[in-house]
Amino acid sequence: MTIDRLSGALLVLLGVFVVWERRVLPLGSSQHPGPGYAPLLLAILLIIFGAILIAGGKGSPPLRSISWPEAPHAAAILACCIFTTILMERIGYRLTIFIILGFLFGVMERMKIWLVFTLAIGFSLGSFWLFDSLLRVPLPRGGWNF
Amino acid sequence: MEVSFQNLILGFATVLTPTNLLYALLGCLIGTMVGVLPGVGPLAGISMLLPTTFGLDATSAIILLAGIYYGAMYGGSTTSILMRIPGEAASVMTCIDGYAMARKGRAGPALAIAAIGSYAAGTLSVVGLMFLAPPLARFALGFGPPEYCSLLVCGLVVLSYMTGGSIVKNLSMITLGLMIGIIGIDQMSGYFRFSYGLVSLGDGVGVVPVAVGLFGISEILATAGSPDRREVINPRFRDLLPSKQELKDSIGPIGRGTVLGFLIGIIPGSAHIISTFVSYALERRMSKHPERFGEGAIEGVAGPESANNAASTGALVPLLALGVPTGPIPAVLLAALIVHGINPGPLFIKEQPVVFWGLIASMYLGNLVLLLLNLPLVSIFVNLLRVPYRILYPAILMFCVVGVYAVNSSMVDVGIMSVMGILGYLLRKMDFETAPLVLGVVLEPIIEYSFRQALAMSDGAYSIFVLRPISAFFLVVALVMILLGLKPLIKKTKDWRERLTEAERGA
Amino acid sequence: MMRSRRVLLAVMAMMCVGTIGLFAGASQAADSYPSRSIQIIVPFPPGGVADLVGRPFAAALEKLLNQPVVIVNKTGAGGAVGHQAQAVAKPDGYTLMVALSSISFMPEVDSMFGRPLAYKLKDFAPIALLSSDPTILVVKASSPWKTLADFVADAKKRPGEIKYSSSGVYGTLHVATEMFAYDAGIKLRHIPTGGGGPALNALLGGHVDATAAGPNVCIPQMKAGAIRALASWGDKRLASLPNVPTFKELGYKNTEFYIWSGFFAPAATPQPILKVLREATAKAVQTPEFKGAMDKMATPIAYLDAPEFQKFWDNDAARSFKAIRNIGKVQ
Repeated sequence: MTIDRLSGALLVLLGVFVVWERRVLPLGSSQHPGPGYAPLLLAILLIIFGAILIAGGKGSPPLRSISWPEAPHAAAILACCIFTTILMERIGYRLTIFIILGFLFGVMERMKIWLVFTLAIGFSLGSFWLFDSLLRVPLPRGGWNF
Repeated sequence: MEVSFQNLILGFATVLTPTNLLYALLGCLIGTMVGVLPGVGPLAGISMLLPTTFGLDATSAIILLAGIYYGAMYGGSTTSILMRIPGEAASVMTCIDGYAMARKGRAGPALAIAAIGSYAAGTLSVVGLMFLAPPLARFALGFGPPEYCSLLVCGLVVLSYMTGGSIVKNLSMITLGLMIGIIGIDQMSGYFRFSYGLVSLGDGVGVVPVAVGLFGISEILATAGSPDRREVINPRFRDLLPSKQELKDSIGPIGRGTVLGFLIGIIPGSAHIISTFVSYALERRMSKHPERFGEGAIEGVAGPESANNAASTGALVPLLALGVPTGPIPAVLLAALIVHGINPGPLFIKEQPVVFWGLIASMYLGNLVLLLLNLPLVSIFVNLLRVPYRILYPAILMFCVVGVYAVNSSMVDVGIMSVMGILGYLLRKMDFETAPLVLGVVLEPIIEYSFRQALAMSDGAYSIFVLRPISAFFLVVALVMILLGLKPLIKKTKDWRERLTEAERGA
Repeated sequence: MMRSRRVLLAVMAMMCVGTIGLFAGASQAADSYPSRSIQIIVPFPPGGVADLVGRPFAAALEKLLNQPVVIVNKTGAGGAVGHQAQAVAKPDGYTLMVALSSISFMPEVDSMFGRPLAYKLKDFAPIALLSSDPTILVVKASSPWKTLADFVADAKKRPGEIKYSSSGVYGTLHVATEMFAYDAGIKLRHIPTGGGGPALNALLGGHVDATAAGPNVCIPQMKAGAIRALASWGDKRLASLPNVPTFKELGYKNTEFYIWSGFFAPAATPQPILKVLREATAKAVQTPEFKGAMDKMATPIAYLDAPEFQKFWDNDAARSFKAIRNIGKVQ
């Protein structure tokens, strides 16, 4: 399996998915294109490009040639993103940022505990003050208004 | 409108009172600040300060608020260059070569050339605004849906020069971007498309979360744990400013970017975003060394940065000459004028000479102030890069989150950013470019709706695209460019693109 | 070993905080209201009518309630995003909303398309009506139509050929214009655009033949001789445009439409809090700052307290529902 073949196959799959999902949107005509016109057109294009990638992808580097040395860090950062997305409006901006920074500094980077706390508290409270209090761009406060 | 010496004197006499001077300075300062901070764009900055200007007279208020507007355009490139976080759609292109320069230890010149380019573009566009506002504004209103559609077709042809690499891969990325752009309520019929019951997706997927995810988040995902983390670069003073060669290389891009940005900026609607994309593509096409683009070419910073500044001034043309706002930010400026009892219409310049010429004069001064303010800031910002990366990347993550959230107070946007971060990371691994994807997201609504609006106007007749002169002109230009692109195929000479691929293979 | 313990600890801490977060949110005593800053959601971008009314109003409230009052622009889906956020907000009086007439449209459109409703009108407790402006039908000054009668006669001759631009499909200007078209028995060609500004730009650029707009936007263009007003959707003639007749006096009895802005709380807000807000609002609209700001915008204050506002809103929503039903699904 090569990189191009895999990505081509994914594009074709996505195209087929969009063609299927589009069926509820009226197509209209070429004189009066409806809401389903552009999605269908683009899905067909995507399938064509995906097919070209599959057809010509024999010579591209194999999938195994991709190395993932940074994967643990990437997974940790992604976990932080997901954590933020789900909980920031519930527990508030300051707490969320404190937790993800504490996690990244303390667990991933293994800094000294006092430095972790100083940085995490400083960044979370400082950015909140800058955006919310000074610039009046409201940031979420959680259930207990913090 | 006569541009008489007298009018300019009137303008400068208005600005050079201590209070107005102070407000111009204050506006530029706040503008720089909201421009540098991701998420807090000029829109938030102006509307935040609007109530505090209720007590001022109209001229001071508009000088202050306009200062925030064009000041923000200066700061917009900072996070793009330093951390690869595009604070707004206009600085997406700066991310590519600006950040590449920063990784090579040339963050100083990149930031400096962005400030210099912005200054040149800002000042030249004010000249354009002063002399040409009324006729240009009338021309701009002639841009209806068919013209828009043809302009974008023409733009797409230019944009095919934007990135190197495999053509099929780039085209599939543009298509994928266009597809993401479809998400949301169909403006023409009211149908929800691919939003799966999420009302927050009604206006579609925002450009900022997509761009911050694809550029900012994917960058820390790929760099944070990699063994070749960026080294700490000690900037020396002479590394802060562009070299003579870099300055010389930037003159052309700045000039072309200014003209391009100004002209695209005056057109009503959201097309001014594409001025940076077109400018980048144009510079890459005209360059003798297109292979340097993406690896830290200073032209790739100078062109787009000038274009976005010129476009922001260009957008003031229809506002001041005819009283019609062409985008969200001019709409806020219009609102600011209205709140101060001035309701600008076509008679605005004649009826309110003090406000108009005061604003013009304040923009000359403000741009100069911004240049003087931003050049010393370069050394401060560059020093941020001395912070060890293990402290920097969690902070970058925090800035991405707050920047994306602040735009629309929406957690869904933060979710989109996370998803786009993963997507961008995987695409990098699989050797796809992400800039065409962002471009697709930006262009989809404009291109689809202008096409369908045009057909609604003509009741389905495609002749509307060729019977209207401006639209026909763009289609002819597009055709000529396609033919020029085909020439190498016919003459069997090698296209620059092939030469480039060969050079890359050899290297 | 050390590392895995840290990971475990961190994960546990995250879970704890998360669970507490889910259940937090005990109610607050109403007698001390307001004890912290209040957010007012504006479901439209800065510079729009809701924002222009909301900001000076928030500034006036801030002084009366002695707490910061912050405007949050939660935009998207023609206002639905902000409306929905308000509908599900905690009814503690700290999340309020200034919304426009279009708040009534979305549930009707949703049910017409058979979609789950994003929110219901019953989700909101109206506090006060702040402003109310009729829209005005305008055409280019160079057009052949001098009066509404000319316009209607021509439209009857060429059904579906006269083009008008609107602020968007099922937006205020679309609903208003179709209400009139239905009443007059004419068919117009609809060109939706991205908002009130672009709709007027399309008329000024000559891409469409007519549009509807609020008086404060029309007046400067009329003064400059760019456009002509044919009729207004109001109940009586506007003080600022005494020569423009209303649709009602021209015989279109069912054509009445306003772009109004109102102040809302979530429906379950306790009465004592609503009372505080109603009293503060009654005072706020009387402050010279708010009056001055609205005066400069040429937008008359049309204050109505909650009960009268509810009545006004019910009538207005009923008219709009009928118009939306008449439009039907757009293909």
